[in-house]
Amino acid sequence: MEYLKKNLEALRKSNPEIAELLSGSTNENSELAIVNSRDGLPSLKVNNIALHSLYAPVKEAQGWAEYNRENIKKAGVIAIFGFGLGYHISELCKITDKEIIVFEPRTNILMAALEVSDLRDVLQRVRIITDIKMPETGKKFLILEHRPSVSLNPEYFDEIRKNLSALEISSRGLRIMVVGPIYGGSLPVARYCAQALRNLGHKVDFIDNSIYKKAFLDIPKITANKAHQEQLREMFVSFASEAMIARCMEFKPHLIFALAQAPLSIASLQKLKDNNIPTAFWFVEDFRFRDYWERIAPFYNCFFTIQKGGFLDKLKKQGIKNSHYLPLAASLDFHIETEISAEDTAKYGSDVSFVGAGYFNRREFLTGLIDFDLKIWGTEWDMSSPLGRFVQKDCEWIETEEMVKIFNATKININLHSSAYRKGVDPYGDFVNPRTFEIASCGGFQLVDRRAELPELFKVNEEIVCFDGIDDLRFKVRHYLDNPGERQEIVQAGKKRILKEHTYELRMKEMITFVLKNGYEFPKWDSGKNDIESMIEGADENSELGKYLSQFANEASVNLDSIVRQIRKGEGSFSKTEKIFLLMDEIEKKYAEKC
Amino acid sequence: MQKNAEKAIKEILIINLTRMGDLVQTTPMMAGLREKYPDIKITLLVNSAFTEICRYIPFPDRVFEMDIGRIIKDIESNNLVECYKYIEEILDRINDRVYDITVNFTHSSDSAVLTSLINTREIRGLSLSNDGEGVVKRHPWMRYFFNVIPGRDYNPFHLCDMYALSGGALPSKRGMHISVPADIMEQTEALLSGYGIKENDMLIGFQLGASAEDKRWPVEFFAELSDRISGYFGAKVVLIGSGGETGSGEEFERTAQAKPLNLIGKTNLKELTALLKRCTLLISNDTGPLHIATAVGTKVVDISLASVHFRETGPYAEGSFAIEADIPCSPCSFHITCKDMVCKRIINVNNVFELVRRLLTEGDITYVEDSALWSGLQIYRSYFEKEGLIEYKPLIKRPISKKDLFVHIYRETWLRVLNGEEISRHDNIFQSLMEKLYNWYDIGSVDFSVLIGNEIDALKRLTGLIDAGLARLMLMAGEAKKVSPDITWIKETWEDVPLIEQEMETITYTHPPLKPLSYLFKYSKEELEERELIALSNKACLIYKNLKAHVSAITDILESLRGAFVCL
Repeated sequence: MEYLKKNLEALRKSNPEIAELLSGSTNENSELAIVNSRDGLPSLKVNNIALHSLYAPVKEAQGWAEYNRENIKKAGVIAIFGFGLGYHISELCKITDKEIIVFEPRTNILMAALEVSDLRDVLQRVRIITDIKMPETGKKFLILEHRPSVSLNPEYFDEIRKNLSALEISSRGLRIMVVGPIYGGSLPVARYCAQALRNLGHKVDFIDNSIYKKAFLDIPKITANKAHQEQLREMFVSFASEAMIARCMEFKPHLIFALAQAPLSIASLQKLKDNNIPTAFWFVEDFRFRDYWERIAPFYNCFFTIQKGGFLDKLKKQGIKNSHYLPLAASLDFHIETEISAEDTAKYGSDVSFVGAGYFNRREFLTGLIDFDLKIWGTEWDMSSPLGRFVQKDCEWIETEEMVKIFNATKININLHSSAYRKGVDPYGDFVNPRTFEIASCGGFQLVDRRAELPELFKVNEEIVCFDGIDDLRFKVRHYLDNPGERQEIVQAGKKRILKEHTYELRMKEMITFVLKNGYEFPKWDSGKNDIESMIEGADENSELGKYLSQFANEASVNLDSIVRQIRKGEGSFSKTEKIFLLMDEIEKKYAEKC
Repeated sequence: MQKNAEKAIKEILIINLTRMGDLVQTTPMMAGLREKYPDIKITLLVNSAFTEICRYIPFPDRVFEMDIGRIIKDIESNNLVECYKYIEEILDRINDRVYDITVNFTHSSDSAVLTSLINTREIRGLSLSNDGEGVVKRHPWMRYFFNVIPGRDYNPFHLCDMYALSGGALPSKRGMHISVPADIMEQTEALLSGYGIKENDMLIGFQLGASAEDKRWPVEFFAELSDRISGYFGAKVVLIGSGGETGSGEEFERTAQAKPLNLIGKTNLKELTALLKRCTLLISNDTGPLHIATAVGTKVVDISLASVHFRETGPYAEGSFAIEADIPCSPCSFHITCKDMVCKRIINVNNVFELVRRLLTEGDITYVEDSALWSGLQIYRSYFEKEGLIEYKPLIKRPISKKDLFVHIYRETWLRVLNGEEISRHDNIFQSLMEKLYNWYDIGSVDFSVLIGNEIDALKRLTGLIDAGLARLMLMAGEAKKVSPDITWIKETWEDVPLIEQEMETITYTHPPLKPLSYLFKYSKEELEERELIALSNKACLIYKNLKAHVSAITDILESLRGAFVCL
């Protein structure tokens, strides 16, 4: 127990979360057995499989470290699969000062290791990960397997291997084309995604189809004939699709990421598929209400949903392999806490407000609040109804900037998920709408209708407060109007959760990781070659070019951009090698568009 | 001013990664070099897309091509090592010798980097500076070409001449140089005969294309012109051009009454060259074939539209013609998109046909009587002046504009300033100028005091400022020469200089004809790379002195002009 205490102390400094995890656990697992090796040092058996030599574990570890000595030189970060009792890690630490991350899913093994020897040096030196979260690093990983550990947990390490590979690829900065809809709720989401992807270091070409909104919505003015209207809409979608293809040929994306309602025809999707251009789609709407997903999902490489609720099963049944639940989020670029001037408070502030379109369920439900100081913002409200006098700005569309002011200036923001066919709160509602995240991110207080999938995103009553019907809502509105302190606590907790788990950056990272892990192949215009070793080899490591490239040996990826960035950082006159790369860069900048 | 030191040049590399027309326009420079240095070895580096024309340029000893498309493809596929090796391999082959001079005619940063990779004693044109941050042009004509041309209203020089002068040698055999193999002429006659064109038929070439839409005279105009020429002269019209211009040819055929011989996209460069030689006249937008036609001795009518300026890229041969709208916005500035192309309305079928009619009837035109037909445009006839430079004579005699006056003045002064010649005596300049003014313009109605009074005042103020700046620089230079110069004093003395220069710039910018002086002064200073204080201050003094001499010469010329015409 003496070792454990000391080791945990060391661990607390370097890996506090792991230390906390281990402190609360007991090691009474019968699958583990500490045995003495022949040279007197402890060894470990798990389900009768020895993780270390039963004769000389240190010597074995030394051999393992020595075997990897050459490879280590080329590594940016070393990822060790399996902790065992730490012998191999300890020996590796002696021969390298590079960053080391150890992946070990079994906390009982970690506990055993901490109990049987003094590992303080190792624990202070390495980072330990027990789940599948990936570290933030732009460097190239060298995976060193502790084979017995890997054989104990093959699926876990397989997952980690894929994650590390995805991390390496995405850390290069991909070219991603984001295709937005012509109008509607997914339009701002598309913009948030594009911004988040930029924030993550990717190059983004945002296809803003909203520029066609007026023309598209004016189609009924051209003809009352429904069939003809539909024909015109189809032609419109064909046009927008072809425009996307044209942009695609110029931008040469590594991935096309389309949002719900993106005007892409089946023909254009087929074309992308035929040309092996990777695509992903985020269906940020209710699959029960909009069924066009059935037609389009087969054409995408990956399909993301904002609801589980049986949707993923349905997709699987349809033969859609790569579908993934990806809840909505908040954009820290747009959904921000902001100081509200007295003028804006008068304009945007109220005790209770609602921002959103006048869907069927909302029109009826919100009349139950008209005795409060209520303001309603958004389109499609019946101005002749009792709610009409509460509707602001002549029922106009509210832009994000204004919406943020409203969330900030309002004491209680009502968030009622839309339904075109159910009254008031949808008892079967599952997914969580963007408003939930946006209000929380803005530091606004909200009361949201109860949703099946909400509790895994927010702690109800701590980070967010739900209502089940109009009576419940009225009660809670009164309560929270009378208790601003409680509102504030919930707001702060909610905001914290947003920052930690619900930003578009995190969603986009998850999206890309999923895409890269699930059969991703580079499009024809980018072979994805980034292997610096093969580049050096191709250049001949003793050549001037080879020697020059060797400075990038530890990088996860190398491309012309990164080389030129490095050259520009330098001082003094350029070498011949540097000038040739600069020449390539200038040629690319000048001629790429023309060629 | 010191004349550039003459040294024997044995090896020269010419980098020209631009288009076919630009390549052809470097031929006078190559001819001049070959004539001046018979043993010179000329190496040419071109974009592989335009290699074919090099076969018909008689001067290069070696031609290297750079496949830009391949480089782009490699970069896009991240095949960086292959791409690097490809470029390195070309460089290694080019750098198998040390060049006395490398001339870079390409106006782009990629060519600047490329030039900096060449083994050479001297660079003319864009290259990377020592710190890699900026670009330098070094040779005075190159500095002029890159910095004064963009403010082009007052530029009097053709690209060919600027190229040749930057090489330091104007050829005695004037014009552009393309060689046409003898056998191809026979083949071309056979080809034309197959289309029913007899040896004695008058063949008029039409080039409908141009690098940009705004530079293209409307196809329906060409079609109507074709009908009128065919009708009047019984001439055969042949359409020439590259495969990318077939659409224009089809449009032409739909519009024209008389069916032309449409060879657009059907000839290789060799055949095109021969075909152009066979034509009596080529009517063309600003294009590569226009230059090939002039090179093979065919007369040209150049329809100069949008940003095209005949003075820079017009027909470079004796006795060809350019037609350009004489309106304040012509030529367009670079990098703008005109939404109302008045020039395309002014240059119409009626006036182009009349020009062609007279030309084909009379063989040459040296004067055009002004009439409503020519309203808003001017016709220029090209000829070589005694120095060997191309000049364009306006055929319609009209009062001279301030712009034209300064173009003519600058033609005389820049030539001397940039060649490093003495310009303090301006008698010759004045005489040459007066001849042009009397012969080409209606000067009786011009009040020169009004026309140039403001500029004379401005130039005098400018001279005062140059003196003030120069005085400070000379003091600094004197201090710098001391064993222990007083750096603090030098710095304090320097403090006035930027303010003086700002004032100088204000004067030139508020008197547009003087702007070119400011451009060259500014960019000459940007090239001050010397690290030693003495060298730096001496060079700065020299730049000031050159400017002073130039300003003084122009002032004298203008004052003499004012005096001369007051006496009248």
